[in-house]
Amino acid sequence: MIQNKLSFHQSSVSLEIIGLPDYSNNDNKDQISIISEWKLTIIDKPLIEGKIDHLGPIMNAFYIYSSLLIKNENPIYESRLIDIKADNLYIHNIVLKSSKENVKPLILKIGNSLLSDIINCFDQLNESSKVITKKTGLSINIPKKVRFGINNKVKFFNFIMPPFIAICSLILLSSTFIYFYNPVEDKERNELINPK
Amino acid sequence: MKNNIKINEFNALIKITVEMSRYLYPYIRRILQSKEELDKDKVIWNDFNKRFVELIKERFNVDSMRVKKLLNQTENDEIIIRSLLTLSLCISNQGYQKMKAYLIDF
Repeated sequence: MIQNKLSFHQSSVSLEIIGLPDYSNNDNKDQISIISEWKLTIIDKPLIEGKIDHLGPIMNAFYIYSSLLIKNENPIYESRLIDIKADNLYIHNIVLKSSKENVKPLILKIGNSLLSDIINCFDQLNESSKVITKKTGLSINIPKKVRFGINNKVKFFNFIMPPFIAICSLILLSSTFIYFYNPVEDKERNELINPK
Repeated sequence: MKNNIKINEFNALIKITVEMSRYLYPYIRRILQSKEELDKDKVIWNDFNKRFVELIKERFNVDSMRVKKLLNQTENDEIIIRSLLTLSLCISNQGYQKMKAYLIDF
């Protein structure tokens, strides 16, 4: 059976989806419901390809990482399949780990321009009516648990920091007064005033 | 002065911004790329930064501390890159929802 191929392009990146329609679900012959393979081609970089099991986690990784980057939060994403870390403000380090044994991880360095191309290709796939898959969470793409985690951390930090700083400054101030105040000297002075 | 923007105006501004960024994506991408390869090609980034500062001086209150930060060419890199990246990620059909979610999350 001939497989369908669909391509999504954005500047230097193209995403190719290969698969079959699900006729039992009344799909058209040019649709793809069963993805057998996908390929992500980035100009001047090695080809990235995999099975359907890998596509969802990789797309999620890029979405979560980009939203962390935009929100000025610590832009690090780590998982069993892919790690993305920011080297600096405009270079991102991607480590793709193979599910096969004895295959070294693929390390890529991409800039913001390629990052936005990749995400725009994923957006096109998500919005395509010809590829019927479980759509990856597009809206702002941070799981609620993670989001609450971050918020709670910030709230806890804001809650605990002011009293902590106040206590520290009180301790510092008090210790300087102790340094100036010498109890032995004070006792001698009292004895001089009251010789009895 | 309080900024009393109405919700309709806010939504309309987001729609215009998303449409403009879709139209200008090749330019936005080129500016980001120029910053990545500053040793090879710094002309586009420098020109953009210069024009950005000129526009801020023309249209913003330069006495405000926040605006002063935008004018400082060594400090404004992060703000410009983050803004350009946000625009470049919101060019899809659902860009409007994405941009709105980003702004609300700020």
